[in-house]
Amino acid sequence: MTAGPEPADYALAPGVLSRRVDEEMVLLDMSSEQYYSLDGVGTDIVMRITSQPMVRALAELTRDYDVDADVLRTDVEQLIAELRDAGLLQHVHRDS
Amino acid sequence: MTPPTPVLAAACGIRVARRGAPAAPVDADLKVGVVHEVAIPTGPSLDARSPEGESWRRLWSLPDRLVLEFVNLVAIEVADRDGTVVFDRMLPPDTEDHLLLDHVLPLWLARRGHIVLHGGVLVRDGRAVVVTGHSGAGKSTLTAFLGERDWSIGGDDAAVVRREPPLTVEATYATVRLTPDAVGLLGMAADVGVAVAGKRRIDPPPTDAQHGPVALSAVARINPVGGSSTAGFERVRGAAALNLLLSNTFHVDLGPGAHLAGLLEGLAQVVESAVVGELSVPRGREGLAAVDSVLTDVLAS
Repeated sequence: MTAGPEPADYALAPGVLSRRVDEEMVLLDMSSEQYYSLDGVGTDIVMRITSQPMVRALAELTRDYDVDADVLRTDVEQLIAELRDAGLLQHVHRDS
Repeated sequence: MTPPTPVLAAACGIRVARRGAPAAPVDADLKVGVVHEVAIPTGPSLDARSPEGESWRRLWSLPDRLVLEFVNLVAIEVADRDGTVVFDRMLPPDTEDHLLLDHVLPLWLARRGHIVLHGGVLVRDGRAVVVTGHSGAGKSTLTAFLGERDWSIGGDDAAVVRREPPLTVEATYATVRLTPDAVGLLGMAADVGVAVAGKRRIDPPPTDAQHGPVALSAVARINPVGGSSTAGFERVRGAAALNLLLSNTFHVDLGPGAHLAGLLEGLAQVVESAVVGELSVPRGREGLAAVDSVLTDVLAS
Protein backbone atom coordinates (compact mmCIF):
# COMPACT_ATOMS: atom_id res chain seq x y z
CA MET A 1 0.00 0.00 0.00
CA THR A 2 1.39 3.34 -1.03
CA ALA A 3 1.24 6.14 1.53
CA GLY A 4 -0.33 9.39 0.36
CA PRO A 5 1.49 12.72 0.35
CA GLU A 6 2.22 14.16 3.76
CA PRO A 7 -0.28 16.85 4.68
CA ALA A 8 0.75 20.46 4.91
CA ASP A 9 0.97 22.29 8.20
CA TYR A 10 -0.79 25.38 6.92
CA ALA A 11 -3.82 26.14 4.79
CA LEU A 12 -5.64 29.21 3.57
CA ALA A 13 -8.37 30.15 6.00
CA PRO A 14 -11.98 29.34 5.12
CA GLY A 15 -13.59 32.15 3.19
CA VAL A 16 -10.33 33.25 1.57
CA LEU A 17 -10.19 33.16 -2.21
CA SER A 18 -6.84 32.99 -3.93
CA ARG A 19 -5.66 33.34 -7.50
CA ARG A 20 -2.22 33.45 -9.01
CA VAL A 21 -1.68 36.15 -11.61
CA ASP A 22 1.66 36.16 -13.38
CA GLU A 23 4.16 35.51 -10.58
CA GLU A 24 1.99 37.03 -7.87
CA MET A 25 -0.95 35.89 -5.78
CA VAL A 26 -4.03 37.75 -4.69
CA LEU A 27 -5.98 36.81 -1.60
CA LEU A 28 -9.53 38.01 -1.08
CA ASP A 29 -10.99 37.64 2.38
CA MET A 30 -14.71 37.47 1.83
CA SER A 31 -15.57 38.04 5.48
CA SER A 32 -13.60 41.27 5.84
CA GLU A 33 -13.86 42.28 2.18
CA GLN A 34 -10.11 42.95 2.26
CA TYR A 35 -7.82 42.35 -0.70
CA TYR A 36 -4.22 41.31 -0.26
CA SER A 37 -1.43 40.59 -2.69
CA LEU A 38 1.82 38.66 -2.44
CA ASP A 39 4.88 39.26 -4.56
CA GLY A 40 6.66 36.43 -6.32
CA VAL A 41 8.68 35.28 -3.31
CA GLY A 42 5.71 35.49 -0.96
CA THR A 43 3.64 33.54 -3.44
CA ASP A 44 6.27 30.85 -3.66
CA ILE A 45 6.44 30.56 0.11
CA VAL A 46 2.68 30.29 0.54
CA MET A 47 2.37 27.76 -2.25
CA ARG A 48 4.98 25.55 -0.64
CA ILE A 49 3.87 25.74 2.97
CA THR A 50 0.27 24.98 2.01
CA SER A 51 1.18 21.97 -0.10
CA GLN A 52 3.69 20.12 2.08
CA PRO A 53 4.95 19.88 5.67
CA MET A 54 6.76 22.93 6.92
CA VAL A 55 10.03 21.06 7.40
CA ARG A 56 10.14 20.05 3.77
CA ALA A 57 9.02 23.44 2.53
CA LEU A 58 11.79 25.18 4.47
CA ALA A 59 14.40 22.76 3.16
CA GLU A 60 13.34 23.34 -0.43
CA LEU A 61 13.18 27.11 -0.05
CA THR A 62 16.63 27.20 1.54
CA ARG A 63 17.99 25.20 -1.37
CA ASP A 64 16.24 27.13 -4.11
CA TYR A 65 16.95 30.61 -2.78
CA ASP A 66 20.49 29.77 -1.66
CA VAL A 67 20.14 31.60 1.65
CA ASP A 68 21.07 30.87 5.23
CA ALA A 69 18.57 28.44 6.70
CA ASP A 70 18.01 30.47 9.86
CA VAL A 71 17.45 33.67 7.90
CA LEU A 72 14.96 31.97 5.67
CA ARG A 73 13.11 30.38 8.58
CA THR A 74 12.81 33.77 10.26
CA ASP A 75 11.46 35.37 7.08
CA VAL A 76 9.00 32.56 6.50
CA GLU A 77 7.77 32.65 10.10
CA GLN A 78 7.30 36.40 9.82
CA LEU A 79 5.20 36.02 6.69
CA ILE A 80 3.16 33.28 8.32
CA ALA A 81 2.55 35.47 11.36
CA GLU A 82 1.39 38.36 9.17
CA LEU A 83 -0.97 36.18 7.20
CA ARG A 84 -2.38 34.57 10.33
CA ASP A 85 -2.90 37.95 11.95
CA ALA A 86 -4.80 39.01 8.85
CA GLY A 87 -6.96 35.91 9.09
CA LEU A 88 -5.75 34.59 5.75
CA LEU A 89 -3.80 31.55 6.90
CA GLN A 90 -4.43 28.93 9.53
CA HIS A 91 -2.39 26.19 11.13
CA VAL A 92 -3.72 22.76 10.38
CA HIS A 93 -4.18 20.77 13.55
CA ARG A 94 -4.06 17.03 13.16
CA ASP A 95 -4.73 14.28 15.60
CA SER A 96 -1.48 12.62 16.53
CA MET B 1 -37.24 65.11 -29.50
CA THR B 2 -37.46 61.40 -30.24
CA PRO B 3 -38.96 59.43 -27.33
CA PRO B 4 -36.92 56.47 -26.06
CA THR B 5 -37.75 53.13 -27.58
CA PRO B 6 -40.09 51.06 -25.38
CA VAL B 7 -37.79 48.06 -25.50
CA LEU B 8 -34.04 48.47 -25.47
CA ALA B 9 -31.68 45.93 -26.98
CA ALA B 10 -28.87 45.52 -24.46
CA ALA B 11 -25.75 43.38 -24.20
CA CYS B 12 -25.84 39.59 -24.30
CA GLY B 13 -29.10 39.69 -26.23
CA ILE B 14 -30.93 41.10 -23.21
CA ARG B 15 -34.11 43.07 -23.90
CA VAL B 16 -35.13 45.74 -21.39
CA ALA B 17 -38.74 46.93 -21.46
CA ARG B 18 -39.23 50.41 -20.11
CA ARG B 19 -42.36 51.47 -18.23
CA GLY B 20 -45.33 51.46 -20.54
CA ALA B 21 -43.84 49.07 -23.09
CA PRO B 22 -46.50 46.83 -24.65
CA ALA B 23 -46.89 43.54 -22.83
CA ALA B 24 -47.14 41.52 -26.02
CA PRO B 25 -45.60 40.43 -28.25
CA VAL B 26 -42.53 41.66 -26.36
CA ASP B 27 -40.88 39.06 -24.17
CA ALA B 28 -38.33 41.16 -22.33
CA ASP B 29 -35.75 39.83 -19.91
CA LEU B 30 -36.11 42.88 -17.70
CA LYS B 31 -39.39 44.76 -17.62
CA VAL B 32 -40.56 47.62 -15.44
CA GLY B 33 -43.67 46.61 -13.54
CA VAL B 34 -46.34 48.42 -11.56
CA VAL B 35 -45.17 50.60 -8.70
CA HIS B 36 -45.63 48.97 -5.31
CA GLU B 37 -43.96 48.67 -1.95
CA VAL B 38 -40.55 47.00 -1.81
CA ALA B 39 -39.63 45.10 1.33
CA ILE B 40 -36.20 46.24 2.49
CA PRO B 41 -34.21 43.23 3.74
CA THR B 42 -32.93 43.31 7.27
CA GLY B 43 -29.68 41.48 6.56
CA PRO B 44 -26.33 43.12 5.77
CA SER B 45 -26.11 45.03 2.52
CA LEU B 46 -23.36 45.73 0.03
CA ASP B 47 -23.05 49.50 0.13
CA ALA B 48 -21.75 51.97 -2.43
CA ARG B 49 -20.18 54.92 -0.69
CA SER B 50 -19.25 58.45 -1.63
CA PRO B 51 -15.64 59.63 -1.24
CA GLU B 52 -16.81 61.08 2.08
CA GLY B 53 -17.88 57.62 3.22
CA GLU B 54 -21.63 58.12 3.04
CA SER B 55 -23.70 55.24 1.73
CA TRP B 56 -25.69 56.26 -1.33
CA ARG B 57 -26.80 52.82 -2.53
CA ARG B 58 -27.50 49.64 -0.57
CA LEU B 59 -27.74 46.29 -2.30
CA TRP B 60 -29.00 42.88 -1.23
CA SER B 61 -28.50 39.83 -3.38
CA LEU B 62 -31.16 37.42 -2.15
CA PRO B 63 -31.90 33.87 -3.33
CA ASP B 64 -34.83 34.97 -5.50
CA ARG B 65 -34.34 38.67 -6.12
CA LEU B 66 -32.08 41.66 -6.10
CA VAL B 67 -33.00 44.64 -3.94
CA LEU B 68 -31.46 48.07 -4.33
CA GLU B 69 -32.12 51.06 -2.14
CA PHE B 70 -30.95 54.42 -3.40
CA VAL B 71 -30.78 56.30 -0.14
CA ASN B 72 -33.50 58.94 0.18
CA LEU B 73 -34.64 58.31 -3.38
CA VAL B 74 -36.21 54.95 -4.20
CA ALA B 75 -36.14 51.22 -3.52
CA ILE B 76 -36.06 48.79 -6.41
CA GLU B 77 -36.65 45.06 -6.53
CA VAL B 78 -35.73 42.78 -9.43
CA ALA B 79 -37.31 39.34 -9.37
CA ASP B 80 -35.35 36.40 -10.70
CA ARG B 81 -38.55 34.58 -11.64
CA ASP B 82 -39.57 36.83 -14.49
CA GLY B 83 -37.21 39.84 -14.53
CA THR B 84 -39.86 42.25 -13.29
CA VAL B 85 -38.35 45.49 -12.01
CA VAL B 86 -40.43 47.18 -9.33
CA PHE B 87 -39.88 50.74 -8.18
CA ASP B 88 -41.49 51.63 -4.87
CA ARG B 89 -42.56 55.05 -6.19
CA MET B 90 -42.99 56.94 -9.40
CA LEU B 91 -39.96 58.93 -10.48
CA PRO B 92 -39.39 61.40 -13.30
CA PRO B 93 -39.01 59.28 -16.45
CA ASP B 94 -35.40 60.27 -17.04
CA THR B 95 -34.42 59.39 -13.47
CA GLU B 96 -36.16 56.02 -13.68
CA ASP B 97 -34.49 55.35 -17.03
CA HIS B 98 -31.09 56.20 -15.61
CA LEU B 99 -31.52 53.89 -12.61
CA LEU B 100 -32.89 51.10 -14.79
CA LEU B 101 -30.17 51.16 -17.43
CA ASP B 102 -27.13 52.43 -15.55
CA HIS B 103 -27.64 50.63 -12.23
CA VAL B 104 -30.18 47.82 -12.41
CA LEU B 105 -29.04 46.43 -15.77
CA PRO B 106 -25.30 46.08 -15.00
CA LEU B 107 -25.93 44.75 -11.50
CA TRP B 108 -28.50 42.28 -12.82
CA LEU B 109 -26.01 41.10 -15.42
CA ALA B 110 -23.36 40.74 -12.70
CA ARG B 111 -25.80 38.72 -10.60
CA ARG B 112 -26.22 36.34 -13.52
CA GLY B 113 -22.48 35.69 -13.44
CA HIS B 114 -21.34 38.11 -16.10
CA ILE B 115 -18.20 40.18 -15.63
CA VAL B 116 -19.30 43.80 -15.93
CA LEU B 117 -16.63 46.48 -15.91
CA HIS B 118 -17.50 50.06 -15.03
CA GLY B 119 -16.28 51.75 -18.16
CA GLY B 120 -16.82 52.89 -21.70
CA VAL B 121 -16.10 50.79 -24.75
CA LEU B 122 -14.09 52.23 -27.61
CA VAL B 123 -13.41 50.22 -30.74
CA ARG B 124 -10.98 50.61 -33.59
CA ASP B 125 -10.06 48.06 -36.23
CA GLY B 126 -12.10 45.37 -34.54
CA ARG B 127 -10.35 45.71 -31.16
CA ALA B 128 -11.75 47.26 -28.02
CA VAL B 129 -10.40 49.33 -25.19
CA VAL B 130 -12.45 49.70 -22.02
CA VAL B 131 -11.82 53.06 -20.36
CA THR B 132 -12.66 52.84 -16.71
CA GLY B 133 -12.32 55.03 -13.66
CA HIS B 134 -14.21 56.61 -10.77
CA SER B 135 -17.32 58.69 -11.34
CA GLY B 136 -16.29 62.05 -12.71
CA ALA B 137 -12.93 60.83 -14.02
CA GLY B 138 -13.96 61.61 -17.58
CA LYS B 139 -14.94 58.27 -19.08
CA SER B 140 -17.92 59.68 -20.94
CA THR B 141 -16.12 62.80 -22.11
CA LEU B 142 -13.22 60.78 -23.48
CA THR B 143 -15.58 58.27 -25.07
CA ALA B 144 -17.62 60.99 -26.77
CA PHE B 145 -14.50 62.84 -27.93
CA LEU B 146 -12.91 59.78 -29.47
CA GLY B 147 -16.26 58.80 -30.97
CA GLU B 148 -15.97 61.91 -33.11
CA ARG B 149 -12.63 60.72 -34.45
CA ASP B 150 -11.71 57.28 -35.75
CA TRP B 151 -13.20 55.29 -32.90
CA SER B 152 -16.56 53.59 -32.63
CA ILE B 153 -18.44 53.94 -29.37
CA GLY B 154 -19.92 50.91 -27.71
CA GLY B 155 -21.17 52.76 -24.65
CA ASP B 156 -19.78 54.85 -21.82
CA ASP B 157 -20.68 53.25 -18.51
CA ALA B 158 -20.73 49.47 -18.31
CA ALA B 159 -19.08 46.77 -20.37
CA VAL B 160 -19.73 43.03 -20.30
CA VAL B 161 -16.65 40.85 -20.71
CA ARG B 162 -17.17 37.38 -22.16
CA ARG B 163 -14.62 34.86 -20.99
CA GLU B 164 -14.80 32.37 -23.80
CA PRO B 165 -11.41 32.74 -25.49
CA PRO B 166 -10.64 35.04 -27.11
CA LEU B 167 -11.93 37.56 -24.60
CA THR B 168 -14.57 39.90 -25.99
CA VAL B 169 -16.39 42.92 -24.59
CA GLU B 170 -19.73 44.55 -25.27
CA ALA B 171 -21.24 47.71 -23.81
CA THR B 172 -24.41 47.09 -21.81
CA TYR B 173 -26.14 49.46 -24.19
CA ALA B 174 -25.10 52.03 -26.75
CA THR B 175 -25.18 55.50 -25.27
CA VAL B 176 -23.09 58.34 -23.88
CA ARG B 177 -24.18 60.59 -21.01
CA LEU B 178 -22.37 63.90 -20.75
CA THR B 179 -22.30 66.57 -18.08
CA PRO B 180 -23.08 70.11 -19.20
CA ASP B 181 -19.38 70.96 -18.86
CA ALA B 182 -18.42 68.05 -21.11
CA VAL B 183 -21.03 69.12 -23.66
CA GLY B 184 -19.44 72.55 -23.73
CA LEU B 185 -15.90 71.18 -23.92
CA LEU B 186 -16.85 69.06 -26.91
CA GLY B 187 -18.48 71.99 -28.65
CA MET B 188 -21.96 70.46 -28.69
CA ALA B 189 -25.24 72.33 -28.41
CA ALA B 190 -26.42 72.62 -24.82
CA ASP B 191 -29.66 70.79 -25.66
CA VAL B 192 -28.02 67.94 -27.54
CA GLY B 193 -29.59 64.53 -27.00
CA VAL B 194 -32.02 63.96 -24.14
CA ALA B 195 -31.87 65.19 -20.56
CA VAL B 196 -31.28 62.31 -18.15
CA ALA B 197 -30.63 62.84 -14.44
CA GLY B 198 -28.76 66.11 -14.89
CA LYS B 199 -26.79 64.97 -17.91
CA ARG B 200 -27.40 64.81 -21.66
CA ARG B 201 -27.84 61.30 -23.08
CA ILE B 202 -26.63 60.94 -26.65
CA ASP B 203 -27.24 57.77 -28.59
CA PRO B 204 -24.45 57.14 -31.10
CA PRO B 205 -25.65 56.83 -34.70
CA PRO B 206 -26.20 53.21 -35.65
CA THR B 207 -23.36 53.47 -38.12
CA ASP B 208 -21.00 54.50 -35.34
CA ALA B 209 -22.21 52.42 -32.46
CA GLN B 210 -20.33 49.17 -32.07
CA HIS B 211 -22.93 46.60 -31.11
CA GLY B 212 -22.09 43.04 -30.30
CA PRO B 213 -18.97 41.59 -28.71
CA VAL B 214 -15.57 42.83 -29.88
CA ALA B 215 -12.13 41.44 -29.06
CA LEU B 216 -10.90 43.00 -25.81
CA SER B 217 -7.38 44.33 -26.15
CA ALA B 218 -6.96 46.69 -23.24
CA VAL B 219 -8.45 48.14 -20.10
CA ALA B 220 -7.28 51.63 -19.21
CA ARG B 221 -8.10 53.37 -15.94
CA ILE B 222 -8.39 57.12 -16.39
CA ASN B 223 -6.27 59.33 -14.17
CA PRO B 224 -7.13 62.99 -14.83
CA VAL B 225 -4.04 65.20 -14.80
CA GLY B 226 -3.40 68.89 -15.30
CA GLY B 227 -3.65 70.37 -18.74
CA SER B 228 0.09 70.90 -18.92
CA SER B 229 0.84 67.27 -18.14
CA THR B 230 1.58 64.61 -20.73
CA ALA B 231 -0.89 61.98 -21.85
CA GLY B 232 0.43 58.51 -21.30
CA PHE B 233 -0.27 54.89 -20.52
CA GLU B 234 1.56 52.88 -17.89
CA ARG B 235 0.98 49.17 -17.99
CA VAL B 236 0.15 47.43 -14.73
CA ARG B 237 0.66 43.72 -14.21
CA GLY B 238 -0.10 40.93 -11.80
CA ALA B 239 -1.91 41.59 -8.55
CA ALA B 240 -1.98 45.34 -9.12
CA ALA B 241 -3.74 44.84 -12.44
CA LEU B 242 -6.24 42.50 -10.87
CA ASN B 243 -6.90 45.00 -8.11
CA LEU B 244 -7.45 47.72 -10.72
CA LEU B 245 -10.09 45.60 -12.41
CA LEU B 246 -11.73 44.44 -9.20
CA SER B 247 -12.18 48.02 -8.02
CA ASN B 248 -13.85 48.94 -11.33
CA THR B 249 -16.25 46.03 -11.59
CA PHE B 250 -19.94 45.81 -10.82
CA HIS B 251 -20.44 43.08 -8.26
CA VAL B 252 -23.39 42.10 -6.17
CA ASP B 253 -22.01 39.80 -3.57
CA LEU B 254 -18.92 39.65 -1.43
CA GLY B 255 -20.02 36.63 0.52
CA PRO B 256 -19.00 33.02 0.11
CA GLY B 257 -20.24 31.36 -3.02
CA ALA B 258 -19.56 30.83 -6.66
CA HIS B 259 -20.15 34.43 -7.73
CA LEU B 260 -17.03 36.01 -6.28
CA ALA B 261 -14.82 33.06 -7.14
CA GLY B 262 -16.02 33.22 -10.72
CA LEU B 263 -15.47 36.97 -10.84
CA LEU B 264 -11.94 36.68 -9.52
CA GLU B 265 -11.14 33.97 -12.04
CA GLY B 266 -12.64 35.96 -14.91
CA LEU B 267 -10.77 39.13 -14.05
CA ALA B 268 -7.53 37.16 -13.76
CA GLN B 269 -8.14 35.94 -17.30
CA VAL B 270 -8.49 39.56 -18.41
CA VAL B 271 -5.15 40.40 -16.79
CA GLU B 272 -3.53 37.46 -18.53
CA SER B 273 -5.05 38.16 -21.95
CA ALA B 274 -5.34 41.93 -22.27
CA VAL B 275 -3.21 44.97 -21.53
CA VAL B 276 -4.25 46.67 -18.28
CA GLY B 277 -2.92 50.00 -17.16
CA GLU B 278 -3.23 53.58 -16.00
CA LEU B 279 -4.12 56.23 -18.56
CA SER B 280 -3.11 59.81 -17.83
CA VAL B 281 -5.61 62.18 -19.44
CA PRO B 282 -4.68 65.86 -19.45
CA ARG B 283 -7.50 68.35 -19.10
CA GLY B 284 -8.91 69.99 -22.22
CA ARG B 285 -9.38 69.13 -25.87
CA GLU B 286 -5.65 68.98 -26.57
CA GLY B 287 -5.26 66.46 -23.79
CA LEU B 288 -8.06 64.34 -25.18
CA ALA B 289 -6.48 64.48 -28.62
CA ALA B 290 -3.18 63.31 -27.18
CA VAL B 291 -4.94 60.37 -25.56
CA ASP B 292 -6.18 59.34 -29.00
CA SER B 293 -2.57 58.69 -30.03
CA VAL B 294 -1.76 56.95 -26.76
CA LEU B 295 -4.66 54.52 -27.02
CA THR B 296 -3.88 53.87 -30.67
CA ASP B 297 -0.38 52.83 -29.62
CA VAL B 298 -1.80 50.65 -26.84
CA LEU B 299 -3.96 48.80 -29.34
CA ALA B 300 -1.00 48.33 -31.61
CA SER B 301 1.24 46.93 -28.86
